[in-house]
Parts: sequence; C-alpha cells; structure tokens
Amino acid sequence: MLKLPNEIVQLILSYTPREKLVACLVVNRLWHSIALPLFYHWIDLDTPKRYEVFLRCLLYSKVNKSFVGNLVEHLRFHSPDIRFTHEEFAQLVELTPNVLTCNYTVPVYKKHNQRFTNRWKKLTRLPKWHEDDPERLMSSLGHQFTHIAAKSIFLHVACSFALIKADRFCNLTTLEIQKDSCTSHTGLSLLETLHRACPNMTTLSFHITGQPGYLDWDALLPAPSLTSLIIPNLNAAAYSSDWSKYIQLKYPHLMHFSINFSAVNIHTVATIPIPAITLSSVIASMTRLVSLHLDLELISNTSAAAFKILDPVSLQRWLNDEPRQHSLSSFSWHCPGNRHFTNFDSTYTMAGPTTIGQLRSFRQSAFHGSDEWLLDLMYVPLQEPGPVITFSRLVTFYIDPGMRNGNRRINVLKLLQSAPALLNLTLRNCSIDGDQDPLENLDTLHYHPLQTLHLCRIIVCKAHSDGPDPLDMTRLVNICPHLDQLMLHECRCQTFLLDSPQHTFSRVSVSIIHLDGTSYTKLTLVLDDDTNAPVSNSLFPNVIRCKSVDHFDGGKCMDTIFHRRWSPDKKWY
Amino acid sequence: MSVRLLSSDSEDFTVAKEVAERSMLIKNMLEDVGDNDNPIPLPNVTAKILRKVIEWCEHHLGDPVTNDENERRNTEIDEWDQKFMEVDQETLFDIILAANYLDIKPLLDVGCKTVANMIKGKTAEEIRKIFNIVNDLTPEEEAQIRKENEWAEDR
Repeated sequence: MLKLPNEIVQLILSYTPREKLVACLVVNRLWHSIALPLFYHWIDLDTPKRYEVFLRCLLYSKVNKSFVGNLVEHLRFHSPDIRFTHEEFAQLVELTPNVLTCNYTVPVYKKHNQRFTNRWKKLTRLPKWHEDDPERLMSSLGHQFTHIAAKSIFLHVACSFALIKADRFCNLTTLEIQKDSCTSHTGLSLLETLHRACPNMTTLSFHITGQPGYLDWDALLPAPSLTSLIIPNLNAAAYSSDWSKYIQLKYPHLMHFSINFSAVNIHTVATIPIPAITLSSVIASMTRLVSLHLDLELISNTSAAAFKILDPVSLQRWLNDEPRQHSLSSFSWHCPGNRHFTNFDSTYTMAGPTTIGQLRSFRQSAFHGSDEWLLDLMYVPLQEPGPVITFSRLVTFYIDPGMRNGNRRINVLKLLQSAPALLNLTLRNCSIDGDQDPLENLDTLHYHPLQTLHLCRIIVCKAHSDGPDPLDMTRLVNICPHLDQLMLHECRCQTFLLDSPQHTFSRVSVSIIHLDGTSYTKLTLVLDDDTNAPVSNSLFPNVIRCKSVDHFDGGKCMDTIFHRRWSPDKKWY
Repeated sequence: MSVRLLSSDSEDFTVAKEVAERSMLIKNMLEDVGDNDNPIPLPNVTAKILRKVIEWCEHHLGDPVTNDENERRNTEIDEWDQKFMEVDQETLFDIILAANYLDIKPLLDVGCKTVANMIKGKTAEEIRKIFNIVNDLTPEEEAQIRKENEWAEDR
C-alpha cells in the first residue's frame, strides 16, 4: 500500500482531537515529530493529579533534553482545586518558557473576613493560584497581563502595598476599574499611579463617583496610547472642573468616548456649580474622536446637574454646525426618559439630518417635538413620494421613540429605503405597519443588505386602526436575503407570519404577547419544508417557515413550538 | 463550455468547465493554455479515482468558498460526504492524493477529516497497520516518549 506524503499526515493530525494524539506520538519518528507540536500547543489540566503528573513529565523531559515544555503556548486550568506553592509555580514558569496565555487568578490581598475577594484576572475565571507572596509573583508575572478587571478598592490596597510599580504592566492594554461601594472611589492620584504602571494601555474604564482629589498638575504627562475611555457611571454631584481638565490633558488621542450618567439625588442638584470646563468643551477638544456615546436615560430632570456639566446646547452646535469640527462616525444619544420635559426640547434632536447622513452608526432613544423630521421620515407615507433624506453611510440604526408617538407608525421598508447600506436595525417601543402597505411607491426596493433586525416592544398597527393588527414579515425577508438574525421581543400583533421556505437564519428569537395582553402567543416553526403549499393560517395562526435556523429561542412561547415538516397530505407529523 | 480530462490510464472524461475548475491545478492550466480542444493529461490520477473526484466536484458545485479557518477546522463531515467517503482505504488514500495533486482544498479537507476519524481511539500499533508504517523508534525511545506523555493518558 502506498504511503501518504508528510504534509498530508500533518493535515490529518491537525484534524485529530488533541487528546487522541497521544497514540500518534509513538507511531514512528516522523509521526512523533509531526504530532508533538500539535499536542503540546494547548494544554488542558482538569485535576490536581493531572497537574502533578504533568509537572513531573516536564521535568523528566528536561532531563532527557527533549524539552516538550518549550512547545506549550496555552495553558488552561479547569479546576479550582489545582494549587501551587511559589516554588512549584516558578518551576512551571521555567519549564514552559513560551507560554502566551494562561488562565490564572492571583489573589493579591485577602483579608480574614473574606471581604476582599478581588483577584487579578487574565482571560477567564481561574483557580486559586498562589495565595502567598503576591509581590514576588507580581514582579515576575506583571508583564504577562494584557487585561485587568478589578474593583477600585482593590487597586487602592494594591497601591498602598506598593504592588503597582512603574512599567510593571508594560503589556497591559485594557484596564477596567469596576464599580465599588461608595467607600472608595477612583481619584486622579490612583489613575496616575495606574498610568505609570501601564504605559501602553489603550482602553480604560472607570467610574466617576467622587471628587478628583489632589494632583500635581505641572507634573501631568499625557497618555497618548489611550484611545478608548469608558465611564460607565458618572455621578454629576461628584463632578468638577478638575475631571474635565484631567480628561482633556491626559487623553489627547481619544477616539472612543462613552459616558453613562447616573441618577442624582434631586436635593443636591442646586448646590452643584456649573464647572468652568463643561464636558461639551472637553469633547470638542478631542480632535481624533470617531465614536461618542452619551447615555442620560437615568436622569429624571432636565435641570439636573448632568445637564449643567454636559452643556447639551454647545454639544449640539459642535455636532451639527458647518463646517464640521469633528469626524465622528458613530454617535449614540440616549435622552432622559421623562416625558414631561419641555424646557429642553431642542436637545432631544442632538444630531440633525446632515450629521446623521455622515454617520456609520446612529442610536437615539426618546423623541420629542422637534425630532418629528426623523419620525416623519420613517412613518407610513400617505401619498408622498419616496424619502427626501438618505442616510447613505448608516450601518447601524437604533431608534427608541419610547411609545410617545403612538399615533405614528414606522414603515420598516421605507426606513430601509432611506438607509441603503444599513446592516443592523433596532426598533423599540414604537408602532409599525404590519404588512408594509402601501407599497406602490416602494417598488424600487427589491433588495436590501440588512443582516440583523431587532424589534422590541412594538405594536403592529395599520392606518386608522387601534391595533394590534396582523404582522406579515414575508415580503421584508424576501427583500433582505442576507437577513441572518431576527429578534422580536414582546411584540404585539394579532397574528404573525413569516413564510420564506428557502431562507436560512443563524438566529431567531421571538416572543409575541397574546391579545389578552398577559400571556404569550403560541408559535409554530416549520423547517426545511419541501412543499410549496401555503402554510395554513387558520389552523396555525402564527407561523415561521424557513429553511433552517441555527439557534432558535421561542422564549415564553417555547413550550408550544413545533419543529415539523409540512407534508403533502397537509398533515403535521 | 466543457473540458476534456485524460486519466493516467488514458480514459477521456468530458466535464463542465466550472466542475473542472474546482481543481485549482486545472483552473490554472486552463488560464494558461486558453480555449483548446486538447484533453488535459492527469498522469497522477486513475480513471476510477477521477470519476469519484468529478462526482464530488459536481455535487459541491454550488458550495461557497470558505476561507474561514474556523469553519475549515470544524471536524464534522456532512452526510453526503460521509457516504461518499465510504470506500475501501486504498481508494480513500487515492482520493486524498488526487485532491492534493489537483489542488481541491475542500475535498482534501474532507478526506483528511475522514482519516482523522479513523485514527480516533486507535492504539499506535493499529495506526501503524492502517498506514502501513514501520516503527523506526527503538524500544528505549518509545518508552521515553510514553513516560514523557504519561500525564495525558486515560482521558
């Protein structure tokens, strides 16, 4: 019998699961040389026993000068029972000098009452490695960390133990300082220490929940490597000009900036002064900014401090005034959810039509008065011709009118027509026109590249109807052959139909609220149906028929989902 | 538009151009020689194997070309291919060699995955038998390798 050439043996072994390669190692010399690197490339250790034997094998291999440990690039510990002493750990590090990733957790500080259980993390959640001697450990391992997520209290403690030293985390790119109890917040001096330790950081996330604290401004050096700044929680009551000044001076090369404002106790609002440097002027000074995310949904009052420190009117001018002072491609604006705002009408429409036309991604929630042009664009046309505004660059579109415009129905097809490059569309809390009629003026739309459609808490409602009316998505799906993910959550419609027997989805997730408003509607899923007979609407009023769905989630309708074929004799089986 | 292919045992096959072009080797040849009625000689492929290869190419004509490494690495074999690969081992190896020679990556992958499935759960001795391999490791070397990898036994 003929022999297979080496490169084919190599290919075959690359398709063999790692744990089955052991036998291949002793087939002959050639197979050994091919299988060995494949086998040691990635090591999974599931029990303390296996770890123990593994270490012994590495030592044995070292004595025999075969050095298999040199081949190990990825190490995974799958049991929290695997523990080491410092000597054992040092040995492992020495025997596997080429490890690129390893999932370990190193508790740096542990109080007896178990209050501080924060750990350094790399990659995934890990077993308890090394409870002794964190300082030695950190100095030998610091350069291996690429991502750290830790609470600020923990970082404070680590600083006070002098564990965080300059350039210690020279390969770290992402630092996430997590939310903490109010006792300890992130201040400027902590940030400065961390910046010195992580000189190559590109992404930083921290909460602003307290005063910035003292800083020697003359000694402040910018962090030019930082391009993404995320503030998941900004408490306006704790904000002051020093925060603005710091962000402005420290991060001159910021490209992505995201802020979520937290709710503030209304009684403290009056005492908050308007900072000399507002967030708007900070944002306007970021010349490289491409993505800006502002979320004020938790703010309950427009006289709130958040508006004082943000200065939305200036922001709006910066965003829309010609000539453009910015090169934003992604903008997301989530206004406060309070419907009784009247004094800030103008700020609801942060981005004007021309600005949105230049964006790749646009998200907005809540609409008010002067936003009507945006809703006009989308809602059911009466006799008008096609849209006058086209968002030619838009790829991601997120709209949440907050149910305030209940008398307006968004026509999804018309919306698609005005955004021809759109790939991801999300509509929340609005009414849509169920069967996409009238379509006479839309006959130019035969194809749209849309890939993801997410409808959440929508009501299907035709003209002159109180709804809910039937929803037929067949035409929409036929126009969008690449529609791959369809999510309908808590939608209200009389009946639901999607009949596209040749369409394949990677993900479909549906929950439809029953007409009684309290329970969920039963839904029938017909897959890989080989007949062309129309699906019966009387027997099964809510039907999805398509070729295949990789992941289907029927949510609360799940119990009543059928995966069946529609047989020629019109019977379910 | 069709193409003529000549197997090593001089059997003449006429196949649609797009079927033949699943083979990168033939595709490149066609680009080099242009329109030409002469059959393309394939001295490394017998008629029996060529027939199988053409059958596979015809079935997979509409397949999208995937460059996604993850998808290629997926070790699952679809039903039709599994049936297709239910042949004696010599034929299987011949198909793999032909796919390699003709440069039909997806077929080569399917062939190698099939062989990889054959290896699963076999001992070294059984693998040697399948692949007709002579063990050139000394007993000492073999013992050393076994000892070195002891930790991975009994999974």
